[in-house]
Amino acid sequence: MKRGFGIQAKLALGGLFLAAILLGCSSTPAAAPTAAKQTGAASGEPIVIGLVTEVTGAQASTGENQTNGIRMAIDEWNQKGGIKGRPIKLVIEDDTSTPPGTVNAFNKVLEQKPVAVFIPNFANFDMAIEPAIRKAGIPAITGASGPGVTAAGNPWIFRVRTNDNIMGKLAAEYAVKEMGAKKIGILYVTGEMGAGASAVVKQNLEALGTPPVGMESYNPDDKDVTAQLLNLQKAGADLVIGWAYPPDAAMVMTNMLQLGVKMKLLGSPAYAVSDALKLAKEAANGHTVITDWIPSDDPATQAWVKQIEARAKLPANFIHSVYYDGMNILASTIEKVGTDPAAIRDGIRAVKGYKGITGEYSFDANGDGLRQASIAQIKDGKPVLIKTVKGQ
Amino acid sequence: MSAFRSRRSLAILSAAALAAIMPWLFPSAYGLVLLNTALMYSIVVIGLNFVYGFGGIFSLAQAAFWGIGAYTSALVTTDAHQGYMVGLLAASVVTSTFGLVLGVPTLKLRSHYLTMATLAFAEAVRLVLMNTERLTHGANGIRGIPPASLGPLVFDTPERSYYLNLAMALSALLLTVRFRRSRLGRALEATRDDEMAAAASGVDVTHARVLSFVLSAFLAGVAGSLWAAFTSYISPETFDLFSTIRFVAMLLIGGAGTAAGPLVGTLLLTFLPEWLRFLEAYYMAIYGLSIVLILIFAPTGLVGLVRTLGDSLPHAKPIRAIPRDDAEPSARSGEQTELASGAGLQPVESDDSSRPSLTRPRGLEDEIPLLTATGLTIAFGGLVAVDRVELSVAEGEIRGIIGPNGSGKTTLLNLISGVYRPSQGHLYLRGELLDRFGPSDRVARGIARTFQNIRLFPRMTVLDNVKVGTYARSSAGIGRIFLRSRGVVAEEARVEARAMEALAIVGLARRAMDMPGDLPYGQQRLVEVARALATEPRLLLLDEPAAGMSLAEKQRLVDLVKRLNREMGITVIVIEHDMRVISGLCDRVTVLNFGKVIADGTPQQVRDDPAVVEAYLGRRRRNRAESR
Amino acid sequence: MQILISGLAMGSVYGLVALGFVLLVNAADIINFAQGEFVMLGAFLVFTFAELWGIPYLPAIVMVMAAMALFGMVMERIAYRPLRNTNTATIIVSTLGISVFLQNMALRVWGSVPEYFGQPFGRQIIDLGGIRLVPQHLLILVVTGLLVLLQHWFFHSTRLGKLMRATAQDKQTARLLGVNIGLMTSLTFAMASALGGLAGILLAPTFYISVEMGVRVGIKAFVASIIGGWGSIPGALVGGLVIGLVEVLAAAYVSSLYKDVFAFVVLIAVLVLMPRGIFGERVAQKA
Repeated sequence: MKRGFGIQAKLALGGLFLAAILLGCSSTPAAAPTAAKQTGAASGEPIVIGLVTEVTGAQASTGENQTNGIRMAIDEWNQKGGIKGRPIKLVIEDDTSTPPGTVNAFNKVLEQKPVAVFIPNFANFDMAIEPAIRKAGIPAITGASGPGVTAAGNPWIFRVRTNDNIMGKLAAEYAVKEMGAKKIGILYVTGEMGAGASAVVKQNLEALGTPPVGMESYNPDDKDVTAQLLNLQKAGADLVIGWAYPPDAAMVMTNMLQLGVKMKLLGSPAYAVSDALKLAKEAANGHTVITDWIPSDDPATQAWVKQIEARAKLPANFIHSVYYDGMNILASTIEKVGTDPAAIRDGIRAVKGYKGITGEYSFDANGDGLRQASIAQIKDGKPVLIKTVKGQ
Repeated sequence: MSAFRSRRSLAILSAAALAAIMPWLFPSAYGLVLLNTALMYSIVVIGLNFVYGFGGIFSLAQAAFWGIGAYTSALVTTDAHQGYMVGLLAASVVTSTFGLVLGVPTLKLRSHYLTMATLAFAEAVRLVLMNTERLTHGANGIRGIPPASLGPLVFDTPERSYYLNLAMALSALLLTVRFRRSRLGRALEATRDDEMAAAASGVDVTHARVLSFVLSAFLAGVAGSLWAAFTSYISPETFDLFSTIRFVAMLLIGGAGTAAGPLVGTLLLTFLPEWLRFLEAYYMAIYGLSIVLILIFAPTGLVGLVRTLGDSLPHAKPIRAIPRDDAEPSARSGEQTELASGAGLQPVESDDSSRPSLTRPRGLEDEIPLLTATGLTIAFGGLVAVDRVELSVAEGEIRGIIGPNGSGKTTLLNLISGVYRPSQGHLYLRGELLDRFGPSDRVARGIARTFQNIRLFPRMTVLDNVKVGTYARSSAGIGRIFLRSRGVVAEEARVEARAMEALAIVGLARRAMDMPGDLPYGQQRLVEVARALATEPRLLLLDEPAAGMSLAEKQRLVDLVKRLNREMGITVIVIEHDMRVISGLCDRVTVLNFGKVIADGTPQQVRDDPAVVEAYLGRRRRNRAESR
Repeated sequence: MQILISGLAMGSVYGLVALGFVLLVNAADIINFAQGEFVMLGAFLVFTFAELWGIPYLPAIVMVMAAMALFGMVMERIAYRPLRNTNTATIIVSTLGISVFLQNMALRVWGSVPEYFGQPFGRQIIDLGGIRLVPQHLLILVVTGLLVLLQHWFFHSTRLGKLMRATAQDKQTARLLGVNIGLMTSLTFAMASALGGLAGILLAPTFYISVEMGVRVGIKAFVASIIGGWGSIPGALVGGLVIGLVEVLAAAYVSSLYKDVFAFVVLIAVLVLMPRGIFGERVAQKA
């Protein structure tokens, strides 16, 4: 027999405890912390848009880029009076840069009853909530490039970037045809995106008659890829096609500089993101990158670039631009068809030839909206546009 | 008694009703998801409670087991297209096997090394999950895991899953409660608190430890299966060291070693980040700090805190039937006994009105002595502690062992009870070679002992301490304990009766519900004797039992030992310094000096032996003694 | 050959972090989960002082280490002293709480974007006949080696060091002999924190500085100290080198995917075959 409180006292305490839990839960919806600024011009019941993104964790920098792009678009709309007089309210939840965190954050966002939601820029995280999105029945917009995201047959998911099936193909073609590389090695980060994209690159290289001489991988939190680079060098590669996330892109470029390898690099979009370039500094110079978008010189683009740079305090990158475009597409669709999620879904799919900052958007049956790439070379720590290519 | 029972039933019923309507009480769907999460986590933490709370083993492998369970169940229900129940079964079996695989080899390791081994295992599991693409889908994880189902019943909404998870969590809690009060629970906690004493009381220490590992793995595996089905997507990062540490935090904050602790701690730590969200950007930082603060203010956990507060309130002790103490003389008499005359302690005749059932009829005088030692030797480094000792103790004898400090008496006892292995020589119990048996096996064969420095289990009641001694004489296994079969109930009743009997024999039945720390030293010693008696020994080894006792207590001790010997037929070997006790008690005395036997005979003979005098007092005194 | 250099370089990084870790193992018998955060703090602090505030490199180092030492003493007061008499597990979880707290506070202060810190060598490379050496790695190796010697001298030849060791081995007796235990543990935490900070300063140029940088390094350091011998100071460095080499060699010759697994295979092998580790003298055996 135990000493101390009897069982009924314990149960009473347990009940009190549970009451505290319930109280705690009921208070949280009211404390939704972040909402877009609303100016006087917009009034009326807000239209809620959700954003599941990385506020904390290893990929927080991408999350910040995403948030800034979306916020800028929302602020512009709200300053013009919102959507049909209703202000747009952005609800953000932190996915802590992990799949389970994404699931939690998505569930939390759903509480606010958004009409649509933006989901993380990472295929791994998106796949974690793919079934939940289906069940929730609201449109979900992402910039994740892993092919699996739209291949799952989920009618609610839309991609505002070039998916890696196309990007990988364009990369392979550029490497062989324009850069004239004969022996190509692939260095990729493990995970849905890296594995998927590198497989696509490999396939295309083989189709072009130049199968890769080596494929090396590393984990996202590795600090060193010396062995992998040396392996590729040993295999005789003259060009490395790298597929990474921004933090490790910087690491790869730094390693290449430190080892003094003769191989050239053609990097995936992450290699062109400002965080990667800022970290790599001189190590990035001379490399080629293929990405969705590099700012062009025309005045309209440059005006936009100034604005986003003032907000983000970072050089403009494609994450800013695709989500800015994505938010605009979403808002104009809502303006056209109203706030019913199914109508919004169909409305987005019907968008053809929308000209955004990034490029021209036309959504297909799978939900892919963008089919282009820009090739750039890094000079003085900035990507300089070489050419743009279109895919199918 | 009936009033108590009906109040208790009412409390349980209202709790059950509350639990049943819980889904409708929650204001948000998200909250219900959190509650489900908390319930599944609590099963993992309950598992951790087995291995760390009850077992005292700081294992860092819990999240790895959880992951193995999740992955097994997910793979079985996705890639292998089996039903959920198959997945659940597979998860429990596979994870338990891993628990066995981890538990057995790491048993030899102690504290830090054991922890490190579990850590190595955990990280290895995570890496395999991450990198074996073909089997585990690698870093992509497994998606589209079907929800839990039981035949036609599919648990695909948070409301339905709640009931399933609640049922599982409560079952785990039930297992905890039943385990704790069973012989296995006592054995495990004894092993945790004092492994040597546990083994000396007959506990199979290895079995207890491995069982705790397997149980912790099993529960984590079940929880993993539920988790995979609930979240429908799993990936390797979830099952890392930080998850394990979060589980440890939940257990510590709730209260390790308590029954309700895991649930309390898990609920608190799952909901705490939500409560703190109003702090916006700082919520995770405050969460980290809260963990530290809670630990500072409640180092034994919240349940422990509640219990401490509860103890300081006045409360009635539960009513138990306490048998009459025999051998309990009245308080003041016996103070001035024959002791004062220095003629040695004389046994007091006792009446035979209550025959303890622990009695065994006195053995027939056989040719073979009960205990034989031949050439027994042990050396520690260069020091030979016991040097070619020859010993022969007849059944029914009371043998004393004396000698100056450091002469090897306790070491000899340790050899007999199996704590040490001799470097040379052998030990026989009734002709059977003892050498290969460890301490707990020797208890099963009838050798029991007490310790020079009292080794009672501080966190158990006196009665539970004595019950530990019955381990070798009982047999309930984990399955029957969980199901609370009739056989188990009967056995527990028998165990309780035996333990109370043993306490009654030493005169401490009315202290059964006290904690050992509350007892005076002399009585603690008697509890140790009771615990030894509970093992139903043929040979009882007492190591300086009279140390720290008053004159009256020593008299009672002598009486007790004589009773044990005469009425219960227990052979006794007693190490003592007090010659009056030796004279009053022993038939023969063996004298050790520097590990060698220097004399052997009746107490009188030995007292007059010049070698003995010299050993104790030195040569000059011997000469003086001789010249008298 | 390049591979070996690279392996030794990474290994000395782990070893450096492990030094501070081992100190607390010896002194307080705890696994300090916040050690990685000490490293992270040191890196961010030197970035703030040297890059943002423009203080020259060497004075900045002194400032960082002083700040970290102070921080260590504060942490000892808050997270260790009140729990001193509870069990190891409680203290370990407490350090975890501190780890979470520090990571997220750092996130508030410095933001989520990783930073680059190039001092003192910038991007220079030393080229020795085809073998490329990163000067920072050499610096790390040399400093770590010096620190091992320094620590050994301190703990075995100076009075204060011996007092600290005595306190670590038996608090009660030390107290009875008049040693101020609180001061000793304070000093130990201060040292461990300053060492962690120094590790951060040296590591900052090799990785980029981010709020997460402490996490993975922390675990590897823990493993390094096990392999090298639990509680052994030179063992920390040796263990780190072993891990660095094993990782790199496995990546080069076996499979880059499994290189982490190999580090743990080694760990398990060590635990099974040589439970004391390579140098370990402390064996927590109970008779």
